[in-house]
This record gives sequence, structure tokens and C-alpha cells, in this order.
Amino acid sequence: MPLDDLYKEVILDHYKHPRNKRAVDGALSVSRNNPLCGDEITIHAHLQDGKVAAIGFEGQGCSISQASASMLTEAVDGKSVQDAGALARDFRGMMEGAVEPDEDQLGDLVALQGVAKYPVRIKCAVLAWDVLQETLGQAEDGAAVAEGS
Amino acid sequence: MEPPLPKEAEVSQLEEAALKVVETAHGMRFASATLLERRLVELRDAVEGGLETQAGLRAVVTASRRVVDGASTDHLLKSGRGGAPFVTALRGLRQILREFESRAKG
Repeated sequence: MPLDDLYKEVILDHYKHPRNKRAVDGALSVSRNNPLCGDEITIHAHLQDGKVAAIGFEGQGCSISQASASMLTEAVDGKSVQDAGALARDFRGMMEGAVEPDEDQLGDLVALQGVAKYPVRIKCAVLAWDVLQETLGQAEDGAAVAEGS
Repeated sequence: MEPPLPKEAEVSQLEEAALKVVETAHGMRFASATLLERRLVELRDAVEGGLETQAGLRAVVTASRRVVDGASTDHLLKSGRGGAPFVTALRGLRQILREFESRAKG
């Protein structure tokens, strides 16, 4: 059924019961929005010793954007910054149809693959991941500045 | 004699029609798109609840009606700038819903 392609049980579960929907003390916070349907996502990531030590998100919008953000926080928590960045790239690749999803690596995120059939909604699914990549980039720039000073 | 309860294929048709309305709203950047999606999720929950009884059927009809009502009140549609694809999708959902409503009693 097409409805199930887009709204799989796991997606709806994250939408109705978002994980890690909270601010994180001492975290680097980055926000972005999706003007297409008004989605807003802020990622709060506390990075320590090259790892994602704590992560949360805040935001509002459609079920796909909010579920994707919730799944993201579970997927990258505790990962190295490098692995988190690689996961973000793989996720985007899956959504663009460029990467065959590896269920071992992507886990529940594979559920969002069905969204790729709805081009308008791809932006909703990748929004949180774009914010994550920007957050990781800003953290890297900050570290580089600190090292250089 | 009571009208027969909808078959699985008919329920799928209803869900697909509602999905079409919501996705068209998203595609056209309607302000109501996120609200409609929330109502679509409620419809899905109602369908998950089962349609083996008149109560189940009424829950599905109510949830579908909420999608139609949400779509019908979108300011773009009301102002006549709703766009043909959205109007077509909404008309399709209304048509299927009418059949469901005729079977729901009470």
C-alpha cells in the first residue's frame, strides 16, 4: 500500500514519540528550515574527544522531517565525528538513490527510503542531516581555529 | 439489510486518495500541508483500528472527513488559487468518501 511506503510504522513511532527532543547543555546548536513545508530543525550536539558525546534536537513540521531528526539523534549518538559525517553522506545518498542502503549501517533509517519515491518530501527527510553536517563542519572549523590560536 | 462493510481494496483506495491530497498539498506548498498530514496519520491509525465493525467504519469516515475539511478550508483553495491538481485530488477523495459514508450508519 503506498501509504505504508511513506508512513512506515517506525517513522510514525518516531514522529509520535520523538527521541532526544531536547536542548543539550554546552552544545553547539545549528538551525535550518525548509520553506517548502515550514519544517524547522535545530540540532544541539555536544562534541568531545572527536565523538558525539550528546545530541538532541528541537523543531516542528511534518512527520517526515521530525521522524528523521529523531532517528538521526539515535543513529549518531556516541559515534565519532567522522562516522557521523559518513552516515550523513550515506543517508543523503540513499535518499537521492545514489547509494544502495546498507541496513547494518543505517538501521531504522532504511525505513525512510520509501520517502525517495516522493521527490517533494526528500528535502523534509534530509533537513536534519544537512543541519548535522553543518554542525559538524562548524565544530571542525572551531577546533581548527582553536588549534591555530 | 445493512450495507456491506468496505473491502480491503476499497480501504486502500481511500487511503491512496487521502495521500494524494496531502502530497499534492505538500508539492504546492500549501500552508495546510502539515496539518493535513497529521490528519492523514490519524486516518491511518483509524484504519489500523480495523473496519470489521460499524464503529470502526465510522472512525475511518470521521478521520477521512477531517482530511477533506482541512483541505477544503485551505486559504489558497478558498481564494480560488487552489490549483487543478489539488482540486482533482480532493474531488477524488470526496467521491470515495461519499461511498464510505453511505455505508456508515449512525
